[in-house]
Amino acid sequence: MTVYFDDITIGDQLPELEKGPVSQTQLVRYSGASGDFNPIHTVPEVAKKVGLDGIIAHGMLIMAFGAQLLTDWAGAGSVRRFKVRFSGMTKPGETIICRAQVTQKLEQNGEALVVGKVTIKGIDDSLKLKGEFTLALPRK
Amino acid sequence: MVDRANMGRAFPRFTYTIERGKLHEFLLAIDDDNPVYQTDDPPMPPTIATVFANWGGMNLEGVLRDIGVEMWNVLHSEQEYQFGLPLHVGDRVTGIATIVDIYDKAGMEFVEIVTVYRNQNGSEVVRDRALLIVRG
Repeated sequence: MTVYFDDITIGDQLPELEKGPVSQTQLVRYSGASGDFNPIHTVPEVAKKVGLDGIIAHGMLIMAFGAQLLTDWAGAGSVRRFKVRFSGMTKPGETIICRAQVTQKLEQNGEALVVGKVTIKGIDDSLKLKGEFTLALPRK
Repeated sequence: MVDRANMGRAFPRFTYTIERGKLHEFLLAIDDDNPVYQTDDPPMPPTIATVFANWGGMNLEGVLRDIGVEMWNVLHSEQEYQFGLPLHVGDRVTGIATIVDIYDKAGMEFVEIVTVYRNQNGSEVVRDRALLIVRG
C-alpha cells in the first residue's frame, strides 16, 4: 500500500517492526554478506579476549533492521537520508524492536519529504540505537 | 593519539560492481523478504554500501592502520547515509574515502570518515559518513 505525503501528520508512528531473535548463524551470514569479518561478531574466544561476555551483533545489522522499518513503510527507493548513533550491544538470542515517528514535513528540490526519528531497542527495553531519517513520499 | 595531519587525507579509490546474487545474500542476512527486491530492476536496501566498502576493497583496516589505529580498538559511534541517484544491479560503483575530522570529546578520540560513491556515469549515488571512536 502506497504511503502518500498528503496523508501523513506530524507525530504519526510508523508500524513497529520486530526482528530476530538474532542468532549466531545470522551473524555468520551477515559477516559473509557484508564482508565485515571482525571476529568479535563470530568467534567467542576473540570476543572474550577483548573483554566482552561473548560475540555481539554487527551494529550495521541493527541499522539494517531500522532501514527495513523505513522501506517496509515507504518503499525502498524512498530513503534520502538515514543516520544512526549506536548505543548498546546486541547479543545472540535478542529480539529487536524498531520504532519510528514523523517529526517534520517539508518540500525541498521538488520533493515532498518527511523527517523523523527511529529508536531501536531490545525486547528488554535496552537501547540499541537512535536515528534520524528523511524519506521522499509521493503526493496524491 | 591520532596525528591530526591525517585530516583531509583521501585514500585510494575502490570499485564494486553490484551483483544480484550478492544483493540476495545480503537480504537473507538481514532477514528482509520484501518482494520488491525480487523484481527485474530491484532497488537497493539502504545499508548495502557496507558491501561496496568491504567487498570493493576499501580496506578500512588498512586505512586505520595507516593513521596508527588498530581495528580491534575501534567502536562504531555513528553511521549516516545520504542517497543520490538510485542504484541498480550491474552498476559499477566507485568509492573514495576521506578522513574529514579527528577530534577529542569527553575524553575519547573520534575519527570521521566520509566515503563518496559514484556510479559509472560519475553521478553521486551514496554519501557514507562513519564516526569511529578510538578506545584509549
